[in-house]
Amino acid sequence: MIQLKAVSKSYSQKNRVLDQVNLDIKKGEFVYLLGGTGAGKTTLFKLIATEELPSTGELSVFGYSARNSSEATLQAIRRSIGYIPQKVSLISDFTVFENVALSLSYGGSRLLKQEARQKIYELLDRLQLLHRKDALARELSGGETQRVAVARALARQPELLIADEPTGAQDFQHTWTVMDLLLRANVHGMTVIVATHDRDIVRRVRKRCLLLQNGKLTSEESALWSR
Amino acid sequence: MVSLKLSLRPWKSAPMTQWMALGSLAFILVGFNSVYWIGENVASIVDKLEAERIVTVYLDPSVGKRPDEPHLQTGVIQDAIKTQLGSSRVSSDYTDAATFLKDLETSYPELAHEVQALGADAEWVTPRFFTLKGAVSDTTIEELKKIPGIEGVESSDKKVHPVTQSLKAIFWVSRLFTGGLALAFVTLLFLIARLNRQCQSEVASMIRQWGGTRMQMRMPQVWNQFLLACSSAVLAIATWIYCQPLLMRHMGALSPYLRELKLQSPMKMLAVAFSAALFGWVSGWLTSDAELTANEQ
Ligand SMILES: Nc1ncnc2c1ncn2[C@@H]1O[C@H](COP(=O)(O)OP(=O)(O)OP(=O)(O)O)[C@@H](O)[C@H]1O
Ligand SMILES: [Mg+2]
Repeated sequence: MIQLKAVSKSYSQKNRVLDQVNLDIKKGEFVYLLGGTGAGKTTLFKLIATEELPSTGELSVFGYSARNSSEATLQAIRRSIGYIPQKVSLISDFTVFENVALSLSYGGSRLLKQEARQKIYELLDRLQLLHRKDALARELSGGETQRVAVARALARQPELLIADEPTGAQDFQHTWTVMDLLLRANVHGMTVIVATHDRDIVRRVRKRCLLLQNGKLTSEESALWSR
Repeated sequence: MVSLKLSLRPWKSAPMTQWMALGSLAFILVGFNSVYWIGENVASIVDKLEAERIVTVYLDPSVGKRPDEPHLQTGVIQDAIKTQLGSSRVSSDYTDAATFLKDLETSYPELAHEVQALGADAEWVTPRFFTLKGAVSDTTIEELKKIPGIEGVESSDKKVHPVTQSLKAIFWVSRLFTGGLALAFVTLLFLIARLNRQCQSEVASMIRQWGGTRMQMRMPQVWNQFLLACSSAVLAIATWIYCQPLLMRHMGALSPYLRELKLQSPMKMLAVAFSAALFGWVSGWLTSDAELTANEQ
């Protein structure tokens, strides 16, 4: 589903943010992306989300090369991806419900209007946000904002979900609310990649781990759990 | 209609700014239209004044005195003048000696008495003339001079010259202001577009992430500018329809020549509104993001 062959990314000539990354993620997998701060996790996600192009190397998503695809193909790829960014941005003067519904207006989901509404309510309920559905986005706490972003990405029912520290602003209880949703989605066939600093999650829910260090994919082993 | 909803966000976040911009744009449009309208009218008045003049054709004192010369009769000369004028719309009035004296008596009674005291000789000093009013060309005047029995031809074009000159000055000043106001309109439109872009480019990058097309990325900003320009045009037209008669009356009071101002045709008004809307669309298009901008910092 996602293939990287010797992918490098640099913003300036001096430092390489990603260095010769080789990676293969199959459909239906659940993968952790680990690594210290500044390791290049967010950058890797931006490449996979086709928000940016790799400097060198081959990246293909859903079998389409990111570099050689037409704009229309890239748009179709993006419609099948749910992206929970590290820096969540919501439309501050729209309500929680409107923020989630808005992303559905730009493709991704083939739900009917009434179904979509039902689906959004259900998601908000799961994320303990239903009572806040008519609150303006700017009135939300950091954790609530992040959970709205989770709802927004999942409502689109994407084939691939990339979550950049989706629990970074959550307390213990809400961390597991979010993780539970991601795992459920994975059970229903969604491919999920989660970047996280939270070793507790990695230890409790054992899945494939990728470790980025200084832009290099150094190890890919289950032994990471025990550390 | 999602993009429409997104496009109206600046009205929620900074309503005062948007209202001020709308008001200013409408005000500039009304100013533009008034100045343009004055310029057009003045130009047509100048054209008319330049074509129109009063020509006085004086008869020789001997005309009508000698029955033996048939071509030196008033009626014959009048026919000859009419032939020269052809089909051009010129009015002609004949003033004979008696009428002239009567006119003279009302304004200069003493002079009239002196002339009357001359008795039969008075006929030799009182002028008889045709007054021609309308578009009389220079060549026609030359031809008129050649008709036998005509002593002289006087044309009034020197009299209106200063008036047409000052009207022409008004015309050029109005053209200058028309250009200036058009520029001000476009500049203000782009300034407000730049201001609103801040709020829209964030949404544009979200739309891109969700797989929206470049068109969809641009639409919120384009709609916003388009609607702003359209509503300013509607406001301007309403104001203009209400104010134009008022302006016309004031202009008429300024100079008798400006009493002939005509109401602007609705088509011209619509053309101005249409161009305003078009510039709104263009300003939105040129300031909207179809690519990712956030990461280029
Ligand atoms: N747009 C950019 N321009 C220049 N340098 C950048 C840019 N984005 C990221 N970098 C650099 O790339 C490196 C990796 O950044 P990245 O955001 O991918 O790290 P990360 O693994 O997500 O870190 P964190 O865990 O703190 O979120 C950092 O050193 C950062 O300074
Ligand atoms: Mg990061």
